[in-house]
Amino acid sequence: MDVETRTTAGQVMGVIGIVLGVVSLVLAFIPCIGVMAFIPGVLALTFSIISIVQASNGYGSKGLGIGALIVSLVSIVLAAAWLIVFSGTFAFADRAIRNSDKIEIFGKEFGKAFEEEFGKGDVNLKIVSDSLENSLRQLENELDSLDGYIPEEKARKAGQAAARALKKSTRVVIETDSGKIQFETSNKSH
Amino acid sequence: MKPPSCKKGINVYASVNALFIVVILAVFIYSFAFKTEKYPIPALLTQSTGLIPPSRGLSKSFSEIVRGNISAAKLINPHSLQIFAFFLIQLVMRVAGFAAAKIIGSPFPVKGIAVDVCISLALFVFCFAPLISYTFRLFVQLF
Repeated sequence: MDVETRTTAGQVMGVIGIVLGVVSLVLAFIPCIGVMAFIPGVLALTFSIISIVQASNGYGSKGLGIGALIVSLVSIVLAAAWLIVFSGTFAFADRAIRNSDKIEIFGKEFGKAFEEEFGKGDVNLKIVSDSLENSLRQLENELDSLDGYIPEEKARKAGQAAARALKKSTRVVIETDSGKIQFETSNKSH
Repeated sequence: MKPPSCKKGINVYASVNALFIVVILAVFIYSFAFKTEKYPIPALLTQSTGLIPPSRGLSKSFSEIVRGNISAAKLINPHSLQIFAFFLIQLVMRVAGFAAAKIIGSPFPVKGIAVDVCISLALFVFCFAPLISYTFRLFVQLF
């Protein structure tokens, strides 16, 4: 009886394809460099196609090539979405950029007010720093979830108010045309 | 038609593990090699759009972690520890996988590979959760 035996055709290309595909997928979920997932993604796609073709012609197993193909396609789709974000052609990106300017204004005003409020040396700066870091990250997340436009004056005042609030362990609520941003801190160092 | 028989081939599972070991070690070497303000990999998203993602400062945090400055790393990026843990656990898993593949030989049992893939995927989702949720939140708003 003839027993069909699989050959190793396409396996080397499949191995390279799957490794590049996974690397590409991991990169695609790192927002700072998500768009760079295109490079290993396209390479993985190429290797996976070669692997499938070689496996088909040489009676090899196509499983590895198909796996690499799926992973690379997912990462390319994610990288393409990042490219759209990077290109900033959509209104959403425009809004995000406009609001990011306001975050910068907020940060500058916050820094100035922070120095005035905390320059007296009566607070534990380590605890303040931890609390500040967490509060700013929460604020960033809330800003990201907003669709609306934040007026420049409001961002400036919010920065000053946030620094004062940090000192007094109270909270600040910034109202925008589409929602609220809450800036809270549990700092008890003073 | 009977295909040509080929019993001796490459050990696929061992090769995949070996390549991942090289990639993860490269990440650690990169983190150890660069401790300056200018990293070779820039924060492209922030530079292009002004958006501040949760991955900002990850390279810097990794540099601090490989030098043992855990608290400094946490201050730079609060998610850096769990993301670094993913790479560290994966390095251990890949070394174990490579050793197992060499002992068992080729082909490696499919069940073993399936368990490995499931654990790695769950670990990835858990450790990268802040980055994954940010990415999808951004894309949902985009489309």
